[in-house]
Amino acid sequence: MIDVVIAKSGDKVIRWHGRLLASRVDPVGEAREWFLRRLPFTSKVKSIFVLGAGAGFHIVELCKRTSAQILVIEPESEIVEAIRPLVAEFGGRVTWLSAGSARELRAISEVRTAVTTSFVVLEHPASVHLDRGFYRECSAQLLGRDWGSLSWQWKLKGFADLDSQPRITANDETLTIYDLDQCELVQDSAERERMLLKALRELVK
Amino acid sequence: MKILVVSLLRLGDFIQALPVVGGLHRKFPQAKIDVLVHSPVAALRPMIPAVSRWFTLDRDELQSGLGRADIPLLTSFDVLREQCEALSTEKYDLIVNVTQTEFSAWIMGYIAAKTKIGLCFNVRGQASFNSPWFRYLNDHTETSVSDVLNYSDIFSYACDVSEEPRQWPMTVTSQGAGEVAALKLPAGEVIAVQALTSDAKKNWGAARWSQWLSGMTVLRPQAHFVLLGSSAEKTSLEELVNGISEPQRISLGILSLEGALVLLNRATLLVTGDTSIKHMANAASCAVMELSLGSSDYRRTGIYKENSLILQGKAACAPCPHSSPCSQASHICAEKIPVGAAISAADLFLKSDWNGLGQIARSFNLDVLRTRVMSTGFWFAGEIVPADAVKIVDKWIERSAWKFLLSGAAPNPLPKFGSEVYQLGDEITLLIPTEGIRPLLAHLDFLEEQLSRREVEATAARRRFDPSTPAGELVDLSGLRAVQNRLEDERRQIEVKSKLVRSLKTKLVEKT
Repeated sequence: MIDVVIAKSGDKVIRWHGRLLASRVDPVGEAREWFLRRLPFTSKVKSIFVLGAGAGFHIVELCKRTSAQILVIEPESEIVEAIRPLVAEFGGRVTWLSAGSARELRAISEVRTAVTTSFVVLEHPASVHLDRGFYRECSAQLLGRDWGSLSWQWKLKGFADLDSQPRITANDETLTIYDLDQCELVQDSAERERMLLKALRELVK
Repeated sequence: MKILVVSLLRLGDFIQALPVVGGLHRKFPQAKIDVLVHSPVAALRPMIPAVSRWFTLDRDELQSGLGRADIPLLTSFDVLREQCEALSTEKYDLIVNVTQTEFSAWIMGYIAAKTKIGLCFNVRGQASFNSPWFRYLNDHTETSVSDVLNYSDIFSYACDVSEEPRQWPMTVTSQGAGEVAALKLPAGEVIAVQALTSDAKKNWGAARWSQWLSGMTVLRPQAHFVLLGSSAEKTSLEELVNGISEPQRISLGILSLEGALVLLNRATLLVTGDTSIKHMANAASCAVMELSLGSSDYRRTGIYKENSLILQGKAACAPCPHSSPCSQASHICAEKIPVGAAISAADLFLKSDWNGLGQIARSFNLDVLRTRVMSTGFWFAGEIVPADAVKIVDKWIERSAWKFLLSGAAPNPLPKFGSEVYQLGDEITLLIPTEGIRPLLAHLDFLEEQLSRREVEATAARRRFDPSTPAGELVDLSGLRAVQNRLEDERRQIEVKSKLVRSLKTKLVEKT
């Protein structure tokens, strides 16, 4: 199932069912470029969800370049075990999540804690390619751009339940700040937060 | 004591508000002064030691979080909330918002503090200012208003740090000095040029700048020129130098802000549009010539430094509104400042030949203005050749009346009122020769009469909106507080102005 290839740079790269999970030339350089392409918010958020453990180089890069907690979603325990030594020095900051389905994520305490604060979601393309359906569902849960996942996240943050809000009608459409602002308008228990939603709406006017 | 100054617009807007930071620092020397700015503004950090800590909001990042489908919908919200919560835990005694935007007003509402000055929304979106000066600013945002005070003055009065002359608390750094040393500028006259602005409407145009540089190299044979700009502007600046006969006399100054400040202290003159570099020159030793174009409104944001020069073409559409493209078939306001006029103006300005500059104004039908900080405390840009001196006096009286009204000082027996009239009288006698005083007195008679009439009207209007009006008289039950306040302000402003005019007349009669 799993084997290791030595890249030109001398680094060990994992191969899973014959598919390389990082560059066989320069996996560290590749991880650096991967990080630079995904800069927004990475220096500010408290947590970073990573879809796919890859060969671990991008996780090391995140640990070096940010101070966030790293939550790696990787259903294959063999891959996790293979790359653990690579990220061992950042051990305390990396959490491995191995949910069987995307909906199971909601029950994991580390996920619930991370969702109450700021976070971003980053994909590792080679890993996502291994199980597109699973990662797409994980991504939807975490992006909060549909009604169900947004309600879940909003509630976890300690704000009033959005379920009773009739003004959100966008069932299949991606939700935007306008939807959230409108729905927030009709409930009062988190009024102070409304001010920040209004502030953000000013930025996209 | 802990103070937070919030400035969430661009670099130049923050620099224009710096006298507030300096003033607060002098007024409360033990206080810790922090600032909340947009990320690019934090590049000023090494130059402003009066600021203890710099907090930044990244506007572009927050926007991208809202617009990109691959970023969680709540990320911008969470990041903003965490930043504002962190600021709340600082327990500021005072927050001053020098940003007149709704974005900043909501943020102000969210951050906890003992006292907040400047535009601030509560959860229902109701605005408060906690200073009549900021309310004045809010009421005078339209470009069409007849007269308006300079923003640096408004901010300083609003924060009650107006007693001393405005100061820009910026210091040069060794990094900046190193950058300028690397330019290897020759000894002697250096003229810095900031040709490009952040807004196309405010640009004079590459061809005009090239011609201006060619002309200036001839007229000032000993001078060396430095074209200031960022690395992103390098190519555009190189094009300006193409075709100039003595390119060795022109250097490209691709400098950081720290380098720019050092250069402004080295330079004899800065020629610029409406840029952050212009505001930075307030902290430096160079003279400044500003080309006021497009949406640039020199009355609000003109170069503050005394004895600076502002050129503005007489275009009916100027200043135009921000954030909308030029409405004209051609860039009229730029065309109305001919290259020849700008060359001569710069040369005469360097020679301090104000009479010659007056000739330029007449010959080219151009507004040529000289900046002053009047003895009454206000910045004022006056035409070198005043077309109508009486109009200028009207503006001065209007400004003094606003000052008394907004500072909450009644015009009644007050030594300050007396000295204001005294200072105004002195300013007028400098502006108008003795033989012009009698016609001015006649004008003041007319003004006084006009004000008396308006005072009666304003009092009546105010009573119609006053719920305490005695029964039997007409009361408008919709008497909105805002209307009431506006009418009351108007009535009081007329009252103050009338008193000023009367006292001024007495003072001027004494002079004649």
